[in-house]
Amino acid sequence: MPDSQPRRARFEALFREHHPAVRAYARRRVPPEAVDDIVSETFLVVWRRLDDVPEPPLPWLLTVARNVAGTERRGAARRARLWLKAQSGHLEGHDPGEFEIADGRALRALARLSERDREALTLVAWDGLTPAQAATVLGEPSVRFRQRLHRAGRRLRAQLAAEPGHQEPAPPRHDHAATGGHA
Amino acid sequence: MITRLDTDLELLDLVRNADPMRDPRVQATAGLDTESALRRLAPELDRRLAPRRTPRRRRAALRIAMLAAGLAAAVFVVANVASTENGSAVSAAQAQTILRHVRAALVFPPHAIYEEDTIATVTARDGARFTSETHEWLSTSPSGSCPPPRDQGSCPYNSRLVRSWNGKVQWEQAFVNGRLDLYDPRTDTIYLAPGIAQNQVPDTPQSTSALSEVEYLLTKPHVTINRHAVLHGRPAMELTVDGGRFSYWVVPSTYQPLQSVDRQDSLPDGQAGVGINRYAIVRLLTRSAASPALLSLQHQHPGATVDHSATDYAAALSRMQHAGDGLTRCSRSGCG
Repeated sequence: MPDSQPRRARFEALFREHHPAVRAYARRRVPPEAVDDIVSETFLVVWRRLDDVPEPPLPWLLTVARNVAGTERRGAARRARLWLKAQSGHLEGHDPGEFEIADGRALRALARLSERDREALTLVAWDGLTPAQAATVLGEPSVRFRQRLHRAGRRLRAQLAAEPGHQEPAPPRHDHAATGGHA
Repeated sequence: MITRLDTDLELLDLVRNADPMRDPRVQATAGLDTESALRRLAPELDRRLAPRRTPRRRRAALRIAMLAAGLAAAVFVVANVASTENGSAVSAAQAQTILRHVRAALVFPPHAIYEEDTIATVTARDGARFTSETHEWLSTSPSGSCPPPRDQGSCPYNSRLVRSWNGKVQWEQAFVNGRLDLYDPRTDTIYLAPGIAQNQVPDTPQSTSALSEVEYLLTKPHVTINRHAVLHGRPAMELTVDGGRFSYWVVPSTYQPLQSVDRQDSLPDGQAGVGINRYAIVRLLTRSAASPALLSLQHQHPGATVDHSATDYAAALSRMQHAGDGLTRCSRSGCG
C-alpha cells in the first residue's frame, strides 16, 4: 500500500511518545498480567483510528485505555477474579513500608472513594493531566469536573482523617501561609 | 503524624506520593518496554491494515443503512424476543420465564456452602491450549457483622479456592474474616496475611464464582434461547448473548449450569482463542455437609507449616501472582 509508510511512521512516533504513559495508566489500574494486553488493544484502536486522534493525544489515549481496561476487567474476572483481588491487596492490604510506597494511608483512603472520584484525583496527580484533559477522559464538562475534583479532595481529606494514626494538627502559625483548608 | 492539608496542591502532592508506580516492584511488573511492545504489536498492525476510507457520502449512506438495519433488528427483537436456531420460536413471555429460572438457578440461599469446580480451556487457532481449574467453596452467609453500606467491603464472606493450571495445583487461598491467607503446595506452607485486605474482601456470597459472570451476561439485552440444543450428545438449553460471543448451556429440566463458551477469549500470552468453561461441580452443601473445615487452609493441610511472617507472605503472594509468567502452553502432544 503506497500510503502505508507515512501512516506507519506516524503511528510509531505516537506509540513511542505515549506508550510509557498508557502503560503506567494501565499498570496503576489492572493486574500486571493484563497490562500488555490493555496497551496493545489501546494502540490497535489508535492504528484503526489514526486519523481521529486529536491533539494532544494523551487524554484520548487514556480514554481508550480506560474503556479497554473496563472490558478487560470483566474478562479477567471471568478467568481469575481473586487474582485481581490479590493484586489490589498487594497495594492496599499491607504495611506500605513493605512495598516502598511513599504513602500507604493515602492509597487506602483513595481506595475508599468512589471510582469516579478516585479517577478524578489520580488522572491529575498520577497521570499528569490538566483538569480539562482529565475531564475529557471521564467524559464530563470541564466545570463539572472541577467541582468533582474539589469534592473528591474533600472526601479524601475525610477518609484520611479516619485513618488510624491520624492526629489533630497543631494550631496554624500566623506567620505561615496555611489557610485552614478548603473543606 | 499530621494529616491536615492546607491546600489542594498539598492534597494532590499527597496523592502523587501514593502513586503505585513509584514502587520499583510495581514498575517491574508494568509490562513490556516501549520497543518490545512495539515489536509485539507489529505483526498485528500488518494484519490489520487500515481499511480504505470510503467517500464521506458513502459512509453517510452506510450509517443510514446500518441505522435502518438496527431499527429493523430492534423491532424484530421486540416482536420475537428470542428465537431458536432450529426455527422454533420462543415467545417473549416464555423467554422471560426461562431467563428467570436460569438466573434463579445461580442464586443460593444463606447458611450454606456453595461449591463450584470450573475447568476452563482456551484453545488458540494453532491448537495451543491453556487449561485452568478453579475449585472453590464459598460461604453463602457473611462471616461476621455486616454493617451498612454493604457494598464497601464491610461484609466479608469466607471462602477457599484451589487454582490449577494445565493440571497442576498452583496455589490455594482462603478469605478468612477479611484476610487473604495463602497456601503454597511447593513449600507445603500456609502464609497468614499480616492484615485485612481492605476493600478486597468478598462482599457478596458468590463474588468469586465463575458463574457470577454468567449472571452478569444474562442481564444483557437480546438473549437468544435454543431450547432444543445438544451438548456432548445430551439435550441442553443454549442461551446466546452479546451478538453470539457467549453461549451458556443448562440442563433443560433443572436449569443447572453445564458449560459456557467465550468465542473471543485469549491465552495468557495474548493469542486469541475460544474459551470453554465446563462447570464440573455446581452444588449447595447444607447442614453437616457445610463444614467450616472446607473453608480453612489449616484444616485442609494439617501438616503444613504455618508462617506468620509478613515478608514471607509478601514473597508468597508475589510468587503466586507471577506463577503464570513462564507458563508453557500445551500442544496436541502434551504440555511442555
